[in-house]
Amino acid sequence: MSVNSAPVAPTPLPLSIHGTPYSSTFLIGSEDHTLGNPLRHLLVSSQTSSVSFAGYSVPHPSEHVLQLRVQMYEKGGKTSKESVVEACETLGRICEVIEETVEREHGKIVKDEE
Amino acid sequence: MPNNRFPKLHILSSSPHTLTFELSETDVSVANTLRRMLIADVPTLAIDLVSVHENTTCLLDEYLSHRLGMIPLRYYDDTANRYGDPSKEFREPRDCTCEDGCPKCWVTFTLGVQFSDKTDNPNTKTVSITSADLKSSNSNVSPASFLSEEEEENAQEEGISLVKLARGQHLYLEARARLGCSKEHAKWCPVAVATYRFIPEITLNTPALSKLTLKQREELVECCPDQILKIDDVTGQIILAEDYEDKATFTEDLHYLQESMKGSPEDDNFITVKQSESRFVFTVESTGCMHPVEITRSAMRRMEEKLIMLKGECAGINEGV
Repeated sequence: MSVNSAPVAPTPLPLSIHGTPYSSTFLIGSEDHTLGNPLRHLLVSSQTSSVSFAGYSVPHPSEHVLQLRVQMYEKGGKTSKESVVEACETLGRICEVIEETVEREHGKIVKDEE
Repeated sequence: MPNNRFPKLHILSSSPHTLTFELSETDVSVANTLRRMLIADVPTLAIDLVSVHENTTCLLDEYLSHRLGMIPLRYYDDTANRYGDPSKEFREPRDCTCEDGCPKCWVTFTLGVQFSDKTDNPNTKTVSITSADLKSSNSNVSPASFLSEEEEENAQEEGISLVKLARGQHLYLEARARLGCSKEHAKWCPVAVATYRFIPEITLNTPALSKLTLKQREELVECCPDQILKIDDVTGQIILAEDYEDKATFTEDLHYLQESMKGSPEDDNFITVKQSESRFVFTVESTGCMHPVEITRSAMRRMEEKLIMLKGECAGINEGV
């Protein structure tokens, strides 16, 4: 172990969900704007017919916790949890596309130089 | 599914240390997330533990250790044939299955130099110890070095200067490097610069502009410090400068000047300069530890891991909320 080990605050729980299935607050530990902002944007812009409200906040910068609030229009349709999972999948595909495209485009440039 | 566009990426320039590309058809939140990941979350190797056996140099042990930690370490990826992601071969010590450290979680370096090793010349007063003097236990891991012959020719030293020795001084230490990310300490940051800017969207209200005098149009052109506009020689109308997309700095001078030129405050603007909401130009400059394309890929892979973890946690929590 590193000789520099210092006592650290207990890590927050990875995830806890509060509220009702159609109106939930997700408390995500060890995350911040890096995850919160794009998820919020995708919830609002690509699930406009089912999500009535989506917002995120980092309550205090010293506490490493992300709050994500998702409210749905209809009870009985998609739940808040399902919509967050869907947003994660879309964001995951966006990241994959960026990763593949940068490699492919760079490969073309390297080939042109040869 | 409405609004499911996937981003487009076009590389503008590429060199072993800097990559500039245009990311488009995506929201600013995704661009910002990419920037934050590039700076904070890409795993790299850096020296973390130093055992000093002998140090008669002018610098304290801690000072030298700090300098050693800041040296960018690069990992040669044999499959990709360039300096790439060290997390393919190494694990973080706390995730490793070993008890006390093994070659999979720690890379050992030795540095043993005394004044007489570096020079025979009796007139030399000082010699430099550089990062090139570090000997690695893993042949794929080495301190970052020159990226071109030109850099090497123009350099004063053979590597990153650590300390200077005078006659009779000696430095002998062992250093261990591990995987980490910039959130823990800035020495693990893979980029010197990771930034993006917006592409401008400029609309010219031609009917309103043609009602202005030539002198007023010249005033509008000259008030822009970034020189994004110019007067067409033939027609005398305002047109966009050739490289306006690169030069725009989104200052407010044009806006204030137009307010004073308008007949009444409710009139439309003559020229509007807006930041694009979906086109961004990224500049990624590596410290030398990884190729910038590898840094970008590693950032996106780490983001995907975070999302998989969140999805997994969501599935694990039942609907009994």
